[in-house]
Amino acid sequence: MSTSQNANKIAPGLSSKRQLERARVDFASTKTQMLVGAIIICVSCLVAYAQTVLVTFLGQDLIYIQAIADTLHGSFDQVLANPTSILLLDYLVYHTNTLGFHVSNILLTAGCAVVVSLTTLELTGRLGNRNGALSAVWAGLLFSVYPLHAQSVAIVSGRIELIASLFYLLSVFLFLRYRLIEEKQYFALSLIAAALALIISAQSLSLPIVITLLAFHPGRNRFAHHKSARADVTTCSGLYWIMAALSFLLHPLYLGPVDKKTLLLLFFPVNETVISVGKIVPLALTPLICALLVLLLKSQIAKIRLNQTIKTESVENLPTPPSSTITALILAVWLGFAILPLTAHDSHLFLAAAPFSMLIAILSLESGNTANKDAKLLTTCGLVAMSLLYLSWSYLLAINLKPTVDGSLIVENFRRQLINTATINRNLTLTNWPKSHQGVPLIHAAENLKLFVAPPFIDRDLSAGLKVMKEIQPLEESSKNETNKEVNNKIYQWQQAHGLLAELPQTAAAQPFSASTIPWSASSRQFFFNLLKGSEWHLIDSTGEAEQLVQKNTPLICLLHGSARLWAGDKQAILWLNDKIEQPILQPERWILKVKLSADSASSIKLAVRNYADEAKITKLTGKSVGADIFFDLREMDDYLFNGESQQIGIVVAAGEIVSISSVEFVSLKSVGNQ
Amino acid sequence: MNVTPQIATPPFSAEPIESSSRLFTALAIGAIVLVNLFTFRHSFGGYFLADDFVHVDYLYHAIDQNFMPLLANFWGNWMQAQGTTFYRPLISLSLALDYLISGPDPLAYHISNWLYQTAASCLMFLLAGQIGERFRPGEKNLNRSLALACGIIFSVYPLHCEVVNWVIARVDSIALVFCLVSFWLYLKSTQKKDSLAYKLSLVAFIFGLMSKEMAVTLPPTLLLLNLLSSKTTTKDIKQRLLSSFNETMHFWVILIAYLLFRLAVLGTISGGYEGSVGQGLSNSLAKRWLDGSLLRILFPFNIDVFGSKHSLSVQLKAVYMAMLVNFAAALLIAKSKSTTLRGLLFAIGWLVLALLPTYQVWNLTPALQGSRFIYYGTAPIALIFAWLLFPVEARNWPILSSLRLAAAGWFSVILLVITSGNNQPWNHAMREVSRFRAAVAEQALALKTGQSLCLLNVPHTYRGAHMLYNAATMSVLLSRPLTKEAIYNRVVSFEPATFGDPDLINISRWRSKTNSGSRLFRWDRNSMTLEPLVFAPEKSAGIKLSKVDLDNETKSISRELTLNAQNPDFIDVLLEPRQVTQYPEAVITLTALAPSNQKCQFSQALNLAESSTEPSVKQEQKQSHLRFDVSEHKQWLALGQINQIVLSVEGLNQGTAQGEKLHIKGIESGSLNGQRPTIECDNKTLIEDGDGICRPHGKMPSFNYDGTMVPGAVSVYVEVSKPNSWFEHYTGSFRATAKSPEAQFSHTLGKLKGNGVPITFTGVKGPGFFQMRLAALDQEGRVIGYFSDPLNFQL
Repeated sequence: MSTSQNANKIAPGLSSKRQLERARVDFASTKTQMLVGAIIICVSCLVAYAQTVLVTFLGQDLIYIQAIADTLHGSFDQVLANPTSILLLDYLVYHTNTLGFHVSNILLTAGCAVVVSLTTLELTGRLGNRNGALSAVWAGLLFSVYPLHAQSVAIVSGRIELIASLFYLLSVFLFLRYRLIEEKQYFALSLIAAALALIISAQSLSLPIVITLLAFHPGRNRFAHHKSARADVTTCSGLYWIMAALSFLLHPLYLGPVDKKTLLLLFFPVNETVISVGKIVPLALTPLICALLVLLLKSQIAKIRLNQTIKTESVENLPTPPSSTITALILAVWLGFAILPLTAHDSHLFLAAAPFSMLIAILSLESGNTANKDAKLLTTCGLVAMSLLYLSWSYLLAINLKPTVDGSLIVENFRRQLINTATINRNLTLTNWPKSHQGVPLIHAAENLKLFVAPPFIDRDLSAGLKVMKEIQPLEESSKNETNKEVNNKIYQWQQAHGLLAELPQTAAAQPFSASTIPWSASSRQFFFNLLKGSEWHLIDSTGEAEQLVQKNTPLICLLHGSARLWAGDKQAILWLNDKIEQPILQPERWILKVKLSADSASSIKLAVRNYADEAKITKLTGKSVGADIFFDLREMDDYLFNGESQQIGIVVAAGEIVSISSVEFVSLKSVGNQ
Repeated sequence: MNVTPQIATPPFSAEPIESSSRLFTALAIGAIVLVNLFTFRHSFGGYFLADDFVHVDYLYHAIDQNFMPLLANFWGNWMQAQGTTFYRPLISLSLALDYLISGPDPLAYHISNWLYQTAASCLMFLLAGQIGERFRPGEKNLNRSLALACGIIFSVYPLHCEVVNWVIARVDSIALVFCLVSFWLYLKSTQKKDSLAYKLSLVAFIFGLMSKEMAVTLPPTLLLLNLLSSKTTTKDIKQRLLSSFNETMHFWVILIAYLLFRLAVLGTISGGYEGSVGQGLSNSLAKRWLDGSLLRILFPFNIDVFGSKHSLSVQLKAVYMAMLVNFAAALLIAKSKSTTLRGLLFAIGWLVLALLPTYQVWNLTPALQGSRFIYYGTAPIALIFAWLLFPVEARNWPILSSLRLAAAGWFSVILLVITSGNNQPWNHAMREVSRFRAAVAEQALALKTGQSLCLLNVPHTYRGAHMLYNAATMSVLLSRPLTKEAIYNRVVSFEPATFGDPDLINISRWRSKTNSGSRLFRWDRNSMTLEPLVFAPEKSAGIKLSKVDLDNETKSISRELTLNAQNPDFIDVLLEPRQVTQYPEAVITLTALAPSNQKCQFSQALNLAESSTEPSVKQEQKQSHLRFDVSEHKQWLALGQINQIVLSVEGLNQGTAQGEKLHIKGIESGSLNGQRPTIECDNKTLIEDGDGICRPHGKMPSFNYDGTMVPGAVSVYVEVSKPNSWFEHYTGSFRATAKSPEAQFSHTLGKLKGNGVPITFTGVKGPGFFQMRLAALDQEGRVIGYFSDPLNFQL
C-alpha cells in the first residue's frame, strides 16, 4: 500500500512537537488502484482455472516430457529442435506431477493479464485519464477470463503460447513506458523481451507492426527533443523490424487467409462440440451490444460537450487529449494482425484476446473528466456492461474448460486400465484409444501410447509388448501373420461409450451379410417382408397387374423386376438393414458397403449408422459413386468401427425423394481396389 | 502520467472545418468502397449469363467491322436489334472497353460492373449530403450521418445482386451513375454558383440519357426538389412552380430534344419490347404491379434462398417500426416540422418518379428476378431510410442519437446478410453456365463426323438468376470467342427462339432430329454434368391401366411399366362426367418415375377435363378424360423411360362429406398420329439450324406440308404469327384445337399435301421471327383434331 509521502505537517495547537500523519491507503492514487487491481486479476485467474490443476498430460505433452527426460539422460538432440526446454524447469521441480505444471501455467496467465492491464494504463494515461486505473483493471480482468484461453492454459504444452505472449506483451508495455519517460533501459528491456518472444513463437512476427503503430500514437512525449515524427518512429521501431526479419530464419512466414470461423470465434468464444454457437448468441452478444451502446452514448455526449465548449468559448482552458479513436484504431489493427495466421498451423487467439479486451475496456469505460455529471452516468453504464461481459465470459470459459477436464479423466481411466492390462499380458494389440474428446486432443498419435507404459510416467517399461493398429489397412496382413506365428497376442479395444478397455474375441465369427446374397427386387419379397416388420415402411409389389393404393405420406418400398424403389413420404425416412454387425473392426470384409442403383444416374444417397439398440445416434455418410455403384467406406466412421456395441446400417431417403436400388452388399477392400 | 500536453487548439474558422469535412468524406468513401468490395467479393470470379452472350457476340463481330456497329448505335436502334427498340449507345461502348481490355474473359466485365455499383454508392453518399444541406443548411453532423447512412444502405441493398452480377444489367447502374453525377453537380452548382459544375451536370445528364431511358426522370426530380426545398420562399404555388421550372430549364430542353431525336431515329418515343413478349407484358401489367412485388422492395428476400418466411424479416420489421417511431418522435421535437416532412416528401416523390418509367416492364418476381428495374429506385429508397433515421438533430437526447446510430448499423448488417444470400444464386448460376459450356464442348468434340448432339434441360434459370434463355445465347456460348472451336453447328437444342417456357418442346422436331445417329444428353443440375439419355429399348406399346378410387390421403401406384418417353403424346385420365361437375376444383397430379431416380409431375384441375361427345354412348357409360400433354414437356422426355406412374388427387372434399372418393375409370396413353398434319422446311431453300429456326437460303424460301393422314380432311388451314410472336406464348401449349385470334395471316389451302410451297405466298414480310402452323379442316371448315407443331422461321 502506498502511504502518503508528504505527511509532515505541524499540528495546530502543538507548537514544538512534530506529529506524523497516520499512514493510510490512498485509493485515489493510480498506483494503489493498479496494485489492488493486479491482485484481483491474479485471484480471478486462479479462480477461473482452478479446476485445471488436476488435468493430466494431454496431446503433445507426453512427447515434450519424454524429450526432457531424454535430455536429462544425456540426449540433447530433441531439446534443440523443440521448444520443450520451456518445461525443463517445471520438470526438475515437479517431475511428472501435473499439478506443478498447471500452477505455473496459471501464474503465467495471470502475469499476461497483469501486463495487459499495465499496457492499457499506459494507453489510457495518454488520453488525459482522470479515472485512474479503471479501464486498465477491467482490461486485465477481461483478458483473464477470455473463454478461448481454455486450451492454452489447461493443457501443459499450451505453455509455449503463454510464454511467447507474456514476452510479447511485456515488450509492448516496456516500449510504451519508454516512449513516455524516455529512459533507455526500458527500451533495452523491451528489445530483449521482443527477442525472446520472437524466438519462442512465430505469432510474435506481428510485433514490429504493433510497435510502429504505437510509435505513431500522437500521445508521445512532447517534452522530448523535437525530431520529425517520421524519423522518430523509424529510429525507435527499426530494431524490432530487424529482429523480426532475423526471426524469419526460425519461423518461415506463411500468410494464411483469415478463417471466417476465427472471426466468429472471437465474438462467440465457445467450443462448438460442447454447446452449439446458436445457443450462446444472446449470452455472448448482449454484453458486447451493451458495450457498443455505451460507446455510442459516449461519442454523442462528447459531441454535446464539444458544442458546449464551443458556445462557452472555454476551449483554451481545457487541454485537448488525443482522440481515443486513434488508440482504438491502433488496437483494432493489432487485433487484426493477431488474428491473421502467420504460419500454417498457428491460431493466435490467446494473444488476440489482449488487444480485444483492451479495446473493449478503453472504448466502453469513460476516460474523460469524471467530475462531470454525465460522465458519472457513463462510467456506471460502462461498469455494468463490463461486469456483464466478465460474467458471460467466465461462464463460457467454464464451458470451454469442461471438455479438457473430462478428457483428462478419460485419459486417466484409460491409462490405469492400460497399465493393468499390460502388466498382466505382456503382448497386447490396441485397436482404439481415446483420441480426442469434444475437440480436445487426448492421445494424439499412436506413438504416445507407448510413452504411457514406460518411464518416466511409470517405473517399469511395458512398452515392448504393446502393439498398436495404426492404420486399419494392415490389420488383414498382421492378423494373418500372427495366426502363422501363433503368438499369444490379445487384441484390446477402447470402448469410449463404456470407458472400458475390452478384450476382443480373437476370431470373429464370419456371419454372412444377408443382403449380399439377395437381390433387391420382387424375387426377394420375403426378405423385405421380414425386414420391414414393425417398421414404418410400407411394402408393395408392383410386378403384378393391378394398381396399388397407398397412403400418401408413408414411406414406401416398391418392388420392381430388377430393383426396389424407396420412396420417402413427407419426412426423411431411413431403411435399416437387418444385420447386426459385431466388432466390425475385426471383420475387414465389412468395411466397404456397395449400393448398386438401378440405373446409372447422377443421384447420390446417404447412409446412416447407429448402435443396434440406440435410436438416437445416427451419423450420416456420403459415398463415392462409380457408375451405378456407390461405395461407402465405413472406416470413416469411428462410431461404426470402434464402438463396442453391435452396429446397424441404414439407407437414408430424404423427404419426397426416390431411390431405386438393385442390390446392397459388403465388398472386400481388394475388389474395390481393383475397380 | 499527469502530463497534459498542450496542443494548439484549432481556431474555429472555415479552413479546418473544410479540411475536416474533406477527411470525413475520404474516410466515408473508403468505407463505402470496402463495404461494396466485401458485399460483392464473389462476383469477380463469375461468368456471362443470358443476354450477355448476345453482347459478347455483338462485340466480337463489331470489332471485326472496325467498330462501325458501335457508332451506328448513336443514330439508330440499340445493337440494330429486332424485337426491341432502345437507345443505349453508351452501354455498348462500356462493354467494348471491357472487351478491349480482357477479350472474352469475364473478369474485366465483372470488375467494371462492380465499379459502377461502387461509384453509384459513393455518389449516393455525396448527393445525400448535398440534399441534406439543401433542406437543413448548417446541420453538419446530422447531414453527415444522413449521407453516410444513405451511402452504406445503398451499398448493401439486397436488390442490387442482379445489376452487379449480371454483366448486361449494368445498363441500370451506368444510367444511375450519370444521373447521380448530374444531380450532385447541379446541387453543387446552385450552392456555389459554379457554372462549370452546371455545364458538367448537363453533360452527365446527356450521357445518362444515352445509357438508359430511366434518365428522363431527372428533370422532374430536380423540379420536385426545387419545389420542396427551403430556398424557395414564395407561398404562391404557381409562382413556385414557375421559378422551379426556370431553374431546371436546360434539363427540360435537353429532355425534349432527346425525345424528338428518339422519335426521329427509332420511330417511337416509348420503345421497349415488341412482339408477343411485349404483348404478354402489357397483358399482365396489373398483375405484375399488384402481386405483392411492391412489398418485396421492403422485404427483399429471394424466396428460393430464404424461403417464404425468414426470421430476418421480423428483424427488418422491427427496424422499420423503429424508424417510423424515430421519425414520429423527431417530428414532435423538431422546431421546423415542415423541413423534416418536405425532405421525406421529396425522397418519396423521387421514388415514385423512378418507378414510373418501368410501368411497362416492371416485374419483381418472388425470386427477385427483374430487380434491375428497381435499381434506379433504390437510390431514393436509401434516401428515405436515411431520412427516417436522421430527420432532425437530437441535441439534448444523446441516447436517442446513439440508438439511431445503432439502428442504422443494425439495419445495414441485416441488409448485408440478405444481400449475401441473394448473391448466392447468381454465383451458382455463373458457375453452372461455365461448367455447362465445358461439358458440352467436351462431348461435342468427341462426336464422330456426321453425328450431332441433342441437348435437353439446358439450364434456364437458377433461383431467379438468369442463365441461358434461348438458342441464340447458347449459340454464342458454343462459338468463338467463348469456345475455341465453333461447335455450335453440331449441337441441336430445343430452347425457345427468344423467350418462353423452357419446359415446352416441339416433339415433332425432337422425333425427327433424334432418329438419325445423334447422341442424346440431358444436363443434370444437381451434379452439374451431362448425363446420357437412355430410352426404353423396344418401341413399347402404350399403357392402359385399370380403374382405381382415390381420396385425398391416398395415391395409386401403377404396376411396373416399360414406356418409352418419346412415344406417347398424351396420357388421359378417364373420369365420370358426374364427378367432374361435382369437384371442378380438385387437382389430379400425375407423377412419372424413371428407373433412374428421376421423376416428373403434372397437375391439372378437373374442370379442364373434356367429355366424349359421341352421341351413341349411353348416359351411364359416358366418360370424361383429363388429358396430360406429356410429350411437349422436356421434363417428361428427360426421363427416357417411364417405369411407374403414380396418381393422386387433392382438394376433393370441398363442401362434401369426408371420405368421398374420386372414381378413376382408367389411365391411357395415346398418340396424336393421324390427328394433326405435319409441316416442315424443304431443306433446300429453307434450312433448319440447330436452334430450331429455319432460315432462307435463296430467294424463294418454301416449305412442305402434309394433311393427308387426318381422316375426313378436305382442306388445310395455315396460320402465320405476328412478327416476334409465338403461338404457344398465348396458350402455354403447342396443342391447339382452335384457330388463334393472334394470327397475323391465315389461309386455307385446297390441296391436302404440298411440296415446295413458298412462304411469301402468305404475304409475310420480314424482318423478324415468325411461326407457321397447320390444321386440317372438314367439309364445314371446322378444325379436325389438333394443329401441327409449328415451323419457326426468321426472315
